[in-house]
Amino acid sequence: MTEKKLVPKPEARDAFASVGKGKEVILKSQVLAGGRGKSGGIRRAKSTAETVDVFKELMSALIKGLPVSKVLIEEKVEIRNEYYVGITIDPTFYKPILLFSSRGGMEVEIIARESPYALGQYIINPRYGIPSHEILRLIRELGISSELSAQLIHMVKRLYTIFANFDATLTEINPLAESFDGRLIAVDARLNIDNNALFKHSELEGFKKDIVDNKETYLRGKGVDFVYIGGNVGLICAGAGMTMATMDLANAMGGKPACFCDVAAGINPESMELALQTVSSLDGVQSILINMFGGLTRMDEVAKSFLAAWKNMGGISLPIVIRLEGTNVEEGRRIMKENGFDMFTNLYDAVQKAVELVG
Amino acid sequence: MSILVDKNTRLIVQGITGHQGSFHARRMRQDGTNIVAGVVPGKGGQDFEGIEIFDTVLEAKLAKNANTSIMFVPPKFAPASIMEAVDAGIEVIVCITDGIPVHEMMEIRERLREEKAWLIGPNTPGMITPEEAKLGIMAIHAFKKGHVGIATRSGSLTYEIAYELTRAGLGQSTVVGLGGDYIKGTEFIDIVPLFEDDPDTHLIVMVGEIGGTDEERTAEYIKEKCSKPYVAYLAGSSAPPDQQMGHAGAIVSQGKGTFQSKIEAFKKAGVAVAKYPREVKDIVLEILK
Repeated sequence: MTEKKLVPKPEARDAFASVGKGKEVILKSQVLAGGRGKSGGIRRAKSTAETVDVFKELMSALIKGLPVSKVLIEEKVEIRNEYYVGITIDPTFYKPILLFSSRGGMEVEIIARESPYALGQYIINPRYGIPSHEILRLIRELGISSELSAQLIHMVKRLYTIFANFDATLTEINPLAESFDGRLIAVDARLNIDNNALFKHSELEGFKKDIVDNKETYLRGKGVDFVYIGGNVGLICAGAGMTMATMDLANAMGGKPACFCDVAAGINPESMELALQTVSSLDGVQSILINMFGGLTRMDEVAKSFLAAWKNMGGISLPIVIRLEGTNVEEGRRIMKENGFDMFTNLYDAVQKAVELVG
Repeated sequence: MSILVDKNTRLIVQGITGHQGSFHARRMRQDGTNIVAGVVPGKGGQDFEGIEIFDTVLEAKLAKNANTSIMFVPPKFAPASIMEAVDAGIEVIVCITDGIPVHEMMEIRERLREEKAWLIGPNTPGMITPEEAKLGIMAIHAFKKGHVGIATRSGSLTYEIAYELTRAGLGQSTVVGLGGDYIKGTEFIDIVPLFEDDPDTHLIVMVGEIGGTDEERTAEYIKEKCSKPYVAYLAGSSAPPDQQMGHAGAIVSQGKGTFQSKIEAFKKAGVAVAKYPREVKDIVLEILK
């Protein structure tokens, strides 16, 4: 294992001697974003004074727009080989799967596509974990030096323990570097945890405050499932399948969906206003399409929610197209008409109209 | 005939006194479903509007000869409720709950492999054999009795497509909501052999979406083993990669589960693919005329 230290302020001074053994250290800003190296978030230092200077610079910088509250200081290692090791859930057998490659340093899907012979795998039986002989088989098949066997077995088993204990959907070390003196070093690692399982992990409470509070997370908390896409037709729909199908239709008819926005979790004046506000303020949006099919949701209620939100906002300056169908749609249409809104019942005519309005 | 649910369904409602459970138990009964018992731990011996309540699924099953269970239970407790129903020997289990952890579902899949139980869901609106019984939360007016079997990964698109079919006079044998989660109890590949064997199902409609490999595996199965006509619609052609589209299962990751790979697999298997939801009805009319 390599020497590394996640340091608070006073220890940065000692790190050069203790971690870097007086030669060279790498300083990595700890922010929840990829591409840190390119944006100046990963630096090197060759003396105690330089280590302290770089540490201070990183702590006061914005990396990828994010403030840095921690810096990881590692020894600089000369790398002989880079491997990939990861555990995720197999989309066919629905069991954990170990993926192992002699070609680390790039994304696993690229390895799978470009050099499938260099990618080994083992479907894990959760009752028994990963047996050592399967790890040895992969080491042999991938032509990795058998001198690394003991270290690799230890590391892979530890990785699986983390995967199982933390409700992970992915945990990977990439690249896993082999130094010239025969040590294995986790140069970069990822751990994705199932959002639905967070309630089981009070020990992760401390990490939650580090998670950047983005628009998506905020909206989900308010019952609006939102993903930014970036086109010109703003969509507000009910149901994930319906929302995707509406995006696809807008796309096929020559428009470009601005977002995935699903309000099925609860349609009321508040969620409707939040959705309208969010979608209408997206850059590049030129028309808005509301599309819903009511089963249990009554369309007269949807119409009332929409009108309440509309009035509260004092209207929207963008053209708006509304398509409602299903339970109580006639009453919904009457209410909308009374308030000066025409309504479509046919999905295709509505999407066509919303795309035409984009001009 | 139909699959999994019919006039002989004797239903237990797990969580019948909760907000969702009581609302939907009433509606299911109104819609003609034979609810024989409720299960709420600690409330055994009480009743819900004339339906007897038991502490455990096993007691309810033994006392009322129940064969099916539906649960309205929060995600924290749903895995235990599913396991309890499996242990009690319930044949068909429907789980509406959205938000069950994926590691829990891996365990449940392991268990289901060893038992003769069907789990529909989680994160599903349920299923319906029109004019016989409904196990779920859908409004029944979009459906009518007939010969089209429907299996779907999306509740909202089920309405859109079933409603169009119904209006065109094309009723349904059974409509199964498989659910939107990444790991489901039942997938297309499990449901297709049942429809294939059901004499009352003349054609099968599959409503899929991006993510996972179910559609690809099912296409392979249809190509080799099936003789009935199949029609598919897939949502998500315009979704960006590595972004989850609402459903936990609707994500293209590790290069798997793309729109293109699913469409190609279906076409190779001779499955008619609709470009728009509405085209499903046109294709079905064309095939059955």
